[in-house]
Amino acid sequence: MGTTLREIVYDIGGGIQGGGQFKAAQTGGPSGGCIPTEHLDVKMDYEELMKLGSIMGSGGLIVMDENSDMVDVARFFMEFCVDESCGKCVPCRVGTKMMHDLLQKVCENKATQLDIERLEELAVYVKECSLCGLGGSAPNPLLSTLRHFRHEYDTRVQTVIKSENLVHQ
Amino acid sequence: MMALVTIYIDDKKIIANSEKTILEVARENNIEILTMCHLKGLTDVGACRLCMVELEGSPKLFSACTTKVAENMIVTTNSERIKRYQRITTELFFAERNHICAVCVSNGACELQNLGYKVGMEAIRYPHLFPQCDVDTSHPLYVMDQNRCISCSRCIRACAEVEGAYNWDMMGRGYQIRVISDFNTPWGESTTCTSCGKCLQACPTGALWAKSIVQGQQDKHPEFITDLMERRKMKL
Repeated sequence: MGTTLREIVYDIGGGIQGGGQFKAAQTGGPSGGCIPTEHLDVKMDYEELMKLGSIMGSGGLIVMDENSDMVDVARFFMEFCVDESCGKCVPCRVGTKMMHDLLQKVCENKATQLDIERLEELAVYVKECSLCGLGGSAPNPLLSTLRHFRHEYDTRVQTVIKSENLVHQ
Repeated sequence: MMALVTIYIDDKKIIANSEKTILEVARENNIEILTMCHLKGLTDVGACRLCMVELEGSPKLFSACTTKVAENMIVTTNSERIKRYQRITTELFFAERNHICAVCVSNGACELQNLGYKVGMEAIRYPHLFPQCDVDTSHPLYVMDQNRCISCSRCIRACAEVEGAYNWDMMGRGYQIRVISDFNTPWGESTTCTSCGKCLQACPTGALWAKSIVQGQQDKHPEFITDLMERRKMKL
């Protein structure tokens, strides 16, 4: 408790495998959040992680280098939540599936700006309306990647607009 | 132990029985709270999340059907946030299965359809899942159409709590859950079903219907379930 993320990754863990650049760390398992490079010196405890939109959760730590695609990371974790949802309440049962399908659309460069807005709205809705903690934390990877890696979503959307423009011209 | 408490719902001061839920108190005082999985008489499960209300002093939302009233509770049922969430929930219901009102037996008498009107749903902004669903016509009197099921579990509870037959149950998980008869065997082969038709009356959509009726002619009476339970309580 209180050890910085930098110490864990570089001192205890021995740095990034293959000498790559640190990009993000997912804390707290699939329902936690991503922490970007600028917060490498965050102290690993409940309050500090909460401020960054992440959690201690299971204590799991996944470190990613610059080759990681953050939208795909969000999609991967959402897939886990879709599988884990019990199906009792609507926000978690349908909401996680919708968020997964929309993230898949972003991954395939087929999304529009409207889809990103839908994702943002759904994420907060599922978080606030779900019956239990699974739905309450399922949107965390999506919300934290939207918060810290918004540009990765935007570039995917922009490519769509550009190709559409090409067709019209 | 019963006690009287003072609560405020949308600025209306109400003296209520502390044994009751926010939903019960609101309905008794003509304050509308939208619901789908609630049916008076059956146990509340808080699954549809339509009845979410704001309580002053908490950033969290609470389901009115499963939260009991407490002294000085200040409840908001009609904020912009609540209305927006109700609309999303409704859209998700429609996007989840294959709800096509024009060809449905319950057209015009459907709780889901009415909900759509009530929340002012103009379009479904989410990609439809269009799942492959089964229609079970093996029962001599009734049909179970998974395409129109919203997984509210009212049929399951009516069968278990009112009729005591335990024919219905839920199978699978996540968006793949399905209401099943016995051990996922055809309804017509059920050894538990008494063909009483209570599940039919409890169903808010056209998922359960009687074979004798045609498109748009289904007339459901969920109040039968409520009345039965009221009379049973009074030992009439």
